[in-house]
Amino acid sequence: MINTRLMFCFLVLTTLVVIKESVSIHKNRQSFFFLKNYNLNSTFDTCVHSTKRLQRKNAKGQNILSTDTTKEGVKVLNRNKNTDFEKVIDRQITKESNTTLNEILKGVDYKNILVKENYINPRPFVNIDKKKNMSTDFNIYFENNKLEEYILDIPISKEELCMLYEDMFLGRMFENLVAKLYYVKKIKGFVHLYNGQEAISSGEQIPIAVGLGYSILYKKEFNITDNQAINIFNNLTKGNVLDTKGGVENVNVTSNTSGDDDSGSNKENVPDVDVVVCFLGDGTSNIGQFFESLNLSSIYNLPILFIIENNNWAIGMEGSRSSSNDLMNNYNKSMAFNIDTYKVDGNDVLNIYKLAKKKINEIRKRQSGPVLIEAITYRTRGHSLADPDELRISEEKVSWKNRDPITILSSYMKKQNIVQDSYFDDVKKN
Amino acid sequence: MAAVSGLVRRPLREVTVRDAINQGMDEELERDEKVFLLGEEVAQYDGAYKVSRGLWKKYGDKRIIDTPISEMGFAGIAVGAAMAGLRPICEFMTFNFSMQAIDQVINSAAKTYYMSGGLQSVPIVFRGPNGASAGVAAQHSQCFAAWYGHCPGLKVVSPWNSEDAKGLIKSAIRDNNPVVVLENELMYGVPFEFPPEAQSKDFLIPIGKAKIERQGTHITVVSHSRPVGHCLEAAAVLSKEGVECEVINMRTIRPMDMETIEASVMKTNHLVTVEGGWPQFGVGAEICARIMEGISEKLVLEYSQAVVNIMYLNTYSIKRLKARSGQTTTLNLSCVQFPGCSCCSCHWC
Repeated sequence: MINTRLMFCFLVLTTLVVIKESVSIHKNRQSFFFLKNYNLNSTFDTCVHSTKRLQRKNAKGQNILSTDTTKEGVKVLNRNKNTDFEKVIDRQITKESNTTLNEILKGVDYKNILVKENYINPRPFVNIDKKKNMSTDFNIYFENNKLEEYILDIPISKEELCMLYEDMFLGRMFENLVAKLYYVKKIKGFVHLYNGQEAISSGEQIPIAVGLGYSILYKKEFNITDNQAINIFNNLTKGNVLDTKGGVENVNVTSNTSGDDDSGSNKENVPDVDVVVCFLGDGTSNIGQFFESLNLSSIYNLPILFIIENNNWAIGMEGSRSSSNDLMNNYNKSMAFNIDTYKVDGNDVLNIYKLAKKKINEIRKRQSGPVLIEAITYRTRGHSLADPDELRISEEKVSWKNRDPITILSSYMKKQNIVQDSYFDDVKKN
Repeated sequence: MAAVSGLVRRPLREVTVRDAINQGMDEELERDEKVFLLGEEVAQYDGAYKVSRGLWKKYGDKRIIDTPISEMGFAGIAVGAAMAGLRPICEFMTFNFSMQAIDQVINSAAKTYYMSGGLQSVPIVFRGPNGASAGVAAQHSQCFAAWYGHCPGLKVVSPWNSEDAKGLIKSAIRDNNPVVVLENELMYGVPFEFPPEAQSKDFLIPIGKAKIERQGTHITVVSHSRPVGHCLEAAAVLSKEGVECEVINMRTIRPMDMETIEASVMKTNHLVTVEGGWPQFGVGAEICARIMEGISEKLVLEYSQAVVNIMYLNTYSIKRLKARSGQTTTLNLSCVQFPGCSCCSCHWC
């Protein structure tokens, strides 16, 4: 008696459970239709998003979508695909699908839709006599040693080497003197020093000085002649704001003229500016004004040379935290505007000098449009004298001291036996 | 050509403000090769408001330059060109867009002469429509007279009629300082009589002098740009009731001509300022403050009222003033109903 009753209860319960489960499966099968958009067939195992959705639970603790996540369950779903609706949905999920869209796109050649010849471009102000050497890369990396091949043909004389050395040495001495005076409180305000980066300014200023040009400087930099340096020095000690040139602030102005035209014009009173050089840092290469000026210089073919002095630090912001581009690769920003870009080792004066000479000559002869050069350097001091410089690791600083531009140049000069050893001592005294 | 057609079309010598500016720029472009115009849609489109119509066809691509939509970029280009020796005219589509380039206008253009110790001058002109237009909403209706008038190193100019426009833009282009010319879009199509002196090629209006548009004895009304017309209408209405208003057209906002205003207030003992800008820290507030601190001791003050600022003057408020005409006060009346309303000319006040 008890057994039969037990058996009866057992049977009733099992039937109820079976019925309940079958009903629930049937109900929930209908809710699977929208899941087909998630491409269950091929990416089921790897689609984390959809599995998490499937595991969501309501207030009672039951799965909102009570799906069978095993492979057998999927096989059950796949078995009854007889209707047209399901076939269509399946086609959309698989990779062979989207036939309609692919058929339309097959015959289209994207590159030739927008051909430049069909558009009336804004006419450039400078007619460039560009003979593009198609074999050279668009961008030259110093890591791949292609830069040296590119600038092999430019000679440097002994006098130029000495001029470069003296220029850099003067700069280093000047900056150290300014620091001393600041600590004795003879100079007030902000003092941003340039130790470690002298190669860039020396390498660029000298080719410019040969002809006319405007250069807007980023940090406080010295001028080439001794007299001018002494003038600045005097002005700083007197605290005479009006006479300081080469401003202390971060000036990033696209100063260029539309008055550069071919010879034979009647513009005698307009100064014929050959080339403009604009220095900026890696931090300011993120500002909107920079991109606008790249765009404008590219469409008008302006004779401008941008130089990014990349020392990877903007006061306390490291490059990877502030810029979304790859580390130490700020040149990508100008490639988007079809500007010739180059990347250089900023502590090697000779490379910078040769490249700058070559590019500035090309721009002067109007054989090239705007150019961007990215120079990788390091600043040995902090951003300013008020900067404690705690965020940079000491190992980093030590490793870069080995790449000091002055020592690199002096060791090169010694090896090549260009000058005698006494030359360096003489420079120190004078 | 556009410069001549303005005269030919109107034999009564009535010239719109638009044609006056066009004539002024045309004459200066012809006179000096260093002058050039750049801005958005100035060349092939004949100007967003057709102010530079016909100039591109006459002078070509090198003098009239279309720029892309980068205000800071092309304002920087213009400032650099001015530093190098050219004389650019930088057009903003409205002065609200000059906020994108305000660093170039103030830090690069206005402060350079001082910071270089007098060595580097920037002979640039920034021009464009300023203030409210018809239903363009808050972001395109701001008046920048107070913002630019605050900055030393800039000259700020605000013409009303076509004679003002032509004379001021010519003197702005010939000036070696950075000048901001605040025009008004609603005035572009309004014709005015052109006196014969204004038709000459050397017609200049000195920057820093105001003009008394209408003589009067009872009350001084000071304004600049479009509200000058409203003041003259109100004055006409009031003169029928016996109140004679003296209407002063400021013409320049920086450097401000306080002598004219002070002389007028000494005569009438009543002052109302009318402008299209916001009341706090505005042009009207500055005029009232200078009068209060300056010559108010010489005037007989029976009581001084708190400064209440005006945005849009209508005849009813002047009538209220007339009711108190026996008292000597300085008032800068305001549209109290909507304080802080950016005037989009909805005419609610």
